[in-house]
Amino acid sequence: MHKTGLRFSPLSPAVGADVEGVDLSRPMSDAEFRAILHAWHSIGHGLLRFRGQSLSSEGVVRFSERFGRLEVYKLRPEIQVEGCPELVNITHLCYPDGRPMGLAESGRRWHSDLQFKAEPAIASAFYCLECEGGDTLFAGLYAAYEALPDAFKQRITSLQAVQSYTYYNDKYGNRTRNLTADQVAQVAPVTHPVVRVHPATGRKALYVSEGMTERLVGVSEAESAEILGFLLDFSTRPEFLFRQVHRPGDLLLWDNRCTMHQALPYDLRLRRHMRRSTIMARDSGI
Amino acid sequence: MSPSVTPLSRHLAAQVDGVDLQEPMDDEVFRMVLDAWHRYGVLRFRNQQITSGHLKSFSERFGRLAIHIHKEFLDPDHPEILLLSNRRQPDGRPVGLAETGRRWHSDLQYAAEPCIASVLFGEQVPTIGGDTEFASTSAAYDALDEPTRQRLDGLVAIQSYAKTTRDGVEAARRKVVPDVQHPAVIVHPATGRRALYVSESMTRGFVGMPEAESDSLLAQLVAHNAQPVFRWAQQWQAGDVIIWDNRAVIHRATPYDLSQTRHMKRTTVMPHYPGV
Repeated sequence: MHKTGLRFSPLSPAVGADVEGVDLSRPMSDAEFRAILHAWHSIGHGLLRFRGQSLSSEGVVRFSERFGRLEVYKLRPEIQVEGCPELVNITHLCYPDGRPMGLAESGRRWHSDLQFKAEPAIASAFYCLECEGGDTLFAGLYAAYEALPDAFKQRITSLQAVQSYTYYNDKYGNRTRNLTADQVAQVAPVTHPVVRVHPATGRKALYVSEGMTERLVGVSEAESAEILGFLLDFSTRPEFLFRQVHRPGDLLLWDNRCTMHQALPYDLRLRRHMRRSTIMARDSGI
Repeated sequence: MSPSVTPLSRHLAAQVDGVDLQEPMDDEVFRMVLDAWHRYGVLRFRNQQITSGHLKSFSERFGRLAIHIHKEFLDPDHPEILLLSNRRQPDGRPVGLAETGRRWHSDLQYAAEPCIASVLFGEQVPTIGGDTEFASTSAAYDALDEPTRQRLDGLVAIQSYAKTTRDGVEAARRKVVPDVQHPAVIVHPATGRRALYVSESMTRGFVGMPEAESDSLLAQLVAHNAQPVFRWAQQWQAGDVIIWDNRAVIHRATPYDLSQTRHMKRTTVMPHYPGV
């Protein structure tokens, strides 16, 4: 046991650890924060789960702010939690007047959050208010990269990939809205490396996903399709996955630099209501 | 010889042995080095015989290399390398910056996007003097009393390139580098440790604080951080490579006998990607 009373135990070989011995509704000491940050970077491989929490929106914000600067999700202000613009609702439930409360049926394809932006989110916190169905799958992208054949690692070492939000929506026929010109500009495709080095751990991780990676740069269309097809298939092998069955009071913290995730479908007659924060790097890396 | 890490002082700096920077560093060794760097703030590698190319390859493991604003003192074949040198060209012009950074600072603290790391290679060094002194800003923060910590909570500091320069030669450049604001206390993204982020050389004062109070707080913090217990001095041998973390230490140059040659190469390392 850590001197703070915190206990960490792995959820799967490739990704995820449970954290016990902390009530996140109370102010977190620096020692607790540092132990949690360390576990997130080590035993959790980028995913931590805190069960049995009882958090207000402000509590989720306060926790999230320890890890970086919170992004206000400007693309769709209507899904913000009322009175708390740093959080969005992830739910198919509606307000009494019939307006949708949040993002419904989102994230059905593998992705990491804001992968399509020039500055992606480093992390996200996800708090479960209610959940009768709708699990989330996580993939450990350190483990996936490390298990690649050496020759393949060499082949992709300096490749770049185009990440695109509109690609995601077009390909999967998201029945979302028509974007305004301003929104389209906010989601213009960007390029990121296929393999990223995590700044805290120095470990390399894959950074491509079924949902957001459109193509590789500087190789033929056929080669791009071949490499991406292989990587997307390889990185979601069962040995790299953890399946989260949400319970009310679960708080997840995931690292978008070394994990990706996918929401699994559920029966929309069931209740499911989550709140998410989007965590950016603080002040230009210092 | 397998790589090893030996601490060099109580609060900061460690020496890494058994790593030859002429060779590509494998991922496992790099991770050990990165962990040690996060833990000690400054790492030293001795007896390195490296080219500018090797220095760049090593530096690039930690991030993206920036090109320094002192264009006239860049290595002609490698613009990512800044020369700190008192050697002269045949026409008498200096090849590098000869005397710089005499007051405590963190590199590029005056920039909107400061650098995370700096790497310095001592190719030729004087027999006496010219130490580079480091001070741990995280140990200094940890040692602050509770009222001072609370006073610093949420405080924003004004960082100024203009403050670093005094002579007329710099006047033009001074105008094009505007003051910036950074938190007075930063949280290290890898370790979660807090650190002071103010310095004698670059910090002008604090936002929203009367000038007298701001000056007095700044003087107090600068003096606190400069206490010997937080310090470690690098006494250069030719072949030393030092990498330091600008988020965890401040540093300053000390004088040396200018009749002896001192020729150093420096790289400036930014985060690998936007939004590290």
